[in-house]
Amino acid sequence: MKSRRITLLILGMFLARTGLAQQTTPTQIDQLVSSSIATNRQASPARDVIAAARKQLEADPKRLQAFNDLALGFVRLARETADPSYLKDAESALDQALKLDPQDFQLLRTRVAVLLAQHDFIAAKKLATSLNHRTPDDVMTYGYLAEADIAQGNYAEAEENAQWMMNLRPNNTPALLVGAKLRTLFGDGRGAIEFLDQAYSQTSPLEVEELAWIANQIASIQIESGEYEAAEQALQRAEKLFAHYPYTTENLARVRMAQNRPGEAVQLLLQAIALDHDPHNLYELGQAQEAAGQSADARVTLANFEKLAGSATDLSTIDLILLHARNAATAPDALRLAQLQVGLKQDVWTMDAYAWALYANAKYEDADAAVQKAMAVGIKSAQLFDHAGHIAAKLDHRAEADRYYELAVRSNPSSKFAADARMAMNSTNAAGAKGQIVQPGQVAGLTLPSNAPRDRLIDSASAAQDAPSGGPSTPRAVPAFAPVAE
Amino acid sequence: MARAPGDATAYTGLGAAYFQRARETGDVNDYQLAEQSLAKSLDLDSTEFSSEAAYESMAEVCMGEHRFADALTYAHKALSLGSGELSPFAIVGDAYADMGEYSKAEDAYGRLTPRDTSLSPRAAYARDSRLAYLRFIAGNTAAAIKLMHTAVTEGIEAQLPSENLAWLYYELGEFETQAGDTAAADADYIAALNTHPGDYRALAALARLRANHGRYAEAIVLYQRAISVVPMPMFIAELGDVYAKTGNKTDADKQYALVEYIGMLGHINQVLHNRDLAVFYADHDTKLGEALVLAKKELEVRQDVYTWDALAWALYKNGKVAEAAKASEQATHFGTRDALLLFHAGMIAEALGERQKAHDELSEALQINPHFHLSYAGAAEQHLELLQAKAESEEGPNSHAR
Repeated sequence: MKSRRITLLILGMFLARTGLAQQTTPTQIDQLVSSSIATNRQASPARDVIAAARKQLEADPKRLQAFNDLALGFVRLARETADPSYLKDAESALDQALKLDPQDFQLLRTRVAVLLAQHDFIAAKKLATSLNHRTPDDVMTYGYLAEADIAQGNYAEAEENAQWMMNLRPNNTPALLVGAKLRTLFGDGRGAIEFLDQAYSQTSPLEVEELAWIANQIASIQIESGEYEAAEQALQRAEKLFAHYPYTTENLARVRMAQNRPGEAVQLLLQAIALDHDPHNLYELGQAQEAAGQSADARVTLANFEKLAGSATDLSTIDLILLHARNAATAPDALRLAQLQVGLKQDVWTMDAYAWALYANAKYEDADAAVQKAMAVGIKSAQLFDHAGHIAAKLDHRAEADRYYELAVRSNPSSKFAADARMAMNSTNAAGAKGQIVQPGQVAGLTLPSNAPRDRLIDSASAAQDAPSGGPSTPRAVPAFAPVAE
Repeated sequence: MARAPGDATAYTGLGAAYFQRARETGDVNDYQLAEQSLAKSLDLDSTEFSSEAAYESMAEVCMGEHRFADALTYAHKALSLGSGELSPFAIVGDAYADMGEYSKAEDAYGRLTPRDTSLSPRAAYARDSRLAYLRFIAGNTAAAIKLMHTAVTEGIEAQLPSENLAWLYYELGEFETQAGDTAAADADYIAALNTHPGDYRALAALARLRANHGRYAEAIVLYQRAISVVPMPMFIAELGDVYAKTGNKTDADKQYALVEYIGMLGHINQVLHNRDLAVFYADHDTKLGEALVLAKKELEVRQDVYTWDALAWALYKNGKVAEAAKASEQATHFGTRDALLLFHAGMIAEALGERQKAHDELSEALQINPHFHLSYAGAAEQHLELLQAKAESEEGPNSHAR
């Protein structure tokens, strides 16, 4: 589910796993870290920027632009290495420079980039908004605003800000990347790939990490739509450009999982975890180990994930909600966590997790409202549609349920969610033929059919057959976010 | 700048203006002035989208000074800003072309086409004029001419500055010359002069064309006018050759002396004219050791077919024929149908005793353009006759009859 990551490279942001670098990791992972395959890169685009900035500071210790370059270099290095500790270095560079000139526009704007990378979206938006008022024609400030809006689920505002980026400077690369993100969210995967292709084509061949990043974004969209071969090609291209890039390894693991090769996915995720300590990778590893029949390892991995995820990133929080929602005993924890999270942000994936936690707690009407809100954005996600189908089924909205299951299958026919949707449709049809209402939780109290995706291995025996609360709305039409002609 | 000394854009504008003046006048001091202004601009701002123009102009200045690696660096910095401006890819391609990396050049030129929008005339002319050159290097002169015609149309549509448009006509004329179409070339050079009166490249090209066809008086006037605009050592040498051809040894010698004087004037001139001086020395059988040193020095920074050719010619003149053949192979292995390259290759092959190869190369040079050079077109004919005579004497009268 890595596509949930809000990752907009050009905006100098790294979707940080802040504070995780020093945390304890499982023994197995520690061993891997010690024998890490990570290349100790002596040179990389980010390190080049840092070296040049330091050289400038040696010559002129009060040079603000050099401090700014240094801070941006560290933000980039954090993304290159998946190591959020470099964000501290970025902060330090900015602190020193802002002592020299507390109102410098560039420095403050880079502060926004650091805040975004640290996932402090509220502070980032506040500072970016003040900068935008100060200099209303700065493209990058609009980009940072758009990024904060996307993270918070304020998609209409994000779209407006992204359009400003494009209007002010047609076809600039950051605008293309933000636009691609929005197009994906609005269900226009093909349009997103067009933007990403353009961004890739106009990027300097020397910016290897950036190119690898864009290739990963393309692959991620292709994985979500079931184009695994194309995704694998994009990832091979990324690996060739920038070897041992954590995101490439993680995305390749997703491809292997989708191809029903969980053993290989496990190996790739072990490599990824050695480089990128985001607990999300532990969650993915746990699922891969389960799929590979490595139950004991999976239990250990998921237990470790639970220890680390609570105070980590938004992404791992969502993972934790879904994990807790798998079991009736922990379903209330899932809901508590989801309620807290939805109070902070209401993006598509937070709303989906919230909906699924509500479902796990038999609050089907509320679950329906939440999933409708997520779907209204327009994203074409097999997971989201499958969840919507199950929720609709619980509300006895059979036609709607079937429609959502069909959308799940159509979004990504070879995904586990599509498989689950097919099975749910078949069950409904079979039961319908006998005049029964099929409930996923019919099997002795606690679990769904054993071959259902693990994310939804939950049911409540008390699942009520509440009265329908009105038909689910159709996902909205894809907004026409498009570049303005020159 | 006086009103806003911290305004980076003003320095960029000044730098670009100095660069354009250098293009128009050939005054290399303007490159240095341009570089100073652009460096100041980048000192003030090097990370915003607005600094793209400064990086790009700096890359162009480096190209003008034959600092190809630096040009690449600045062009890539311009691209790394992500401003959406694609024109730095043209400079990337130009640098690679001069470095003899023609496939990389083609790839870079290909990136000038945005994916989602129709190509603007300005971007289109930049791409097509450069691709035309690559087609010529690849031996497809007809395709080069066709693309260059397109580029001229696009340049007119883009309302390019007159000097830039004149350059397109001049390049088209060069390709027409290499296709042996003298009338078309003549018309193109005149079009360049009508577009940008006093254009020194067009004046010299027209002078060369007239000289190669024996119209020496006109050639002398045209060369003199070109030199009065920009005293390029190559033009002065060619004027000297025309004087020599007409028996005016005194004026010829004066021109030859001037070639060396200008070529050695200042560091930049030495860098810019290494190759021309090497060829000049080799052509005139003087300072042959120096010719070789200069050609090798040029090869350190520029590895295109013409630098390999200059090295081959200098080696040949120094009696290093086997090495000359290897260098000549580098110069011709893309199949470039340039009569002078083929003439040099033919002469080297003859010296190596490879008569068939020599015959083929010299014949092809004359086939491309029977008037390709003031002296060497005639020399090619003479050597071909010699080769033919040798072949006949070895094979006997029956063979001759056949």
